[in-house]
Amino acid sequence: MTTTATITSAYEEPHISVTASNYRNPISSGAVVGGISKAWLFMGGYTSTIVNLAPVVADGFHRLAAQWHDATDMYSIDSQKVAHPSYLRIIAFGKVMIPYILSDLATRGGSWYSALEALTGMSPVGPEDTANVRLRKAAWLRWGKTNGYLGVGYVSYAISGKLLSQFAP
Amino acid sequence: MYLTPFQESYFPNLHRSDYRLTSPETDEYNCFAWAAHINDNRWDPTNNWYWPIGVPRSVTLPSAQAAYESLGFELCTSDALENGYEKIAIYVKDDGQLAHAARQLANGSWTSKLGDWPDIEHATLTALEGSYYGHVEAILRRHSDG
Repeated sequence: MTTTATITSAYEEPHISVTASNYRNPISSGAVVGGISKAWLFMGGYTSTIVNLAPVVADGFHRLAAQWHDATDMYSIDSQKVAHPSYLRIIAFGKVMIPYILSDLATRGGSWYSALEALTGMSPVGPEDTANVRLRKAAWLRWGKTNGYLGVGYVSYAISGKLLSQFAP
Repeated sequence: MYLTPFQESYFPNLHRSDYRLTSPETDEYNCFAWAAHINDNRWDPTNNWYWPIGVPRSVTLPSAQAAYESLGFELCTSDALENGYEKIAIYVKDDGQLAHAARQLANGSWTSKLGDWPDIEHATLTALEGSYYGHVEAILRRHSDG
């Protein structure tokens, strides 16, 4: 059974539509209300569990980011900062971490650029701006806003164990 | 004003009687830039940060030494205050990796930007020596009108 999800409203109380492509009664919907909550979707007898992972992901990020900041903020060389295990674990979580990284970059700062480049496979920083910390930071934050990672809801859900992440419009 | 006790714990030779905070925290410059009087950008031989043009990019003492030589500094043998000279001390970790730079002030004390942490003025170079910044491996100087 293939399950896909589209999350169509803002963070905290998203409306979720789920389709089961090979099921005779494919469409159902539910609402998740804040926190670690579950929406039970009844689709002709099949019950799927949707778990709002946002608090879990946020907690994981903040824990790892705090470890990383505490252990490396006294260093001045990027290669010594980004080799820390907590930094690498954040990258290993995947793109779901991007909004949290950008938020931390905006509020606390730090050498998040290698993680962002690893997770996005690109850099929005022009070659002439790369060596300037203010321009590099501004380019990433501008990219984050333009692409919906900053300033709007961002939700992460697991449906039947599969991690899904979506932007809320 | 002092570092937090947590931050101080990384520098066991740093005592409150021998240092003071001289800036807030910021990631907009680092120790290598600050040693060169730069407080609006980072100097870092890695990850495409600014590093003086023509200087090989490596996390080593020779690379940092060449960076400051491009500004007119030259190796010297003493960290003592010398009339008419400005000095920079370069710290290297036990594994040979470049770690830190400090700049001597006109009163003979030293100023250091501690990574993304604040700047401090510290009385001695040994105050920052230890497992995180290693030991001072080179002292450079230039005429203070440099």
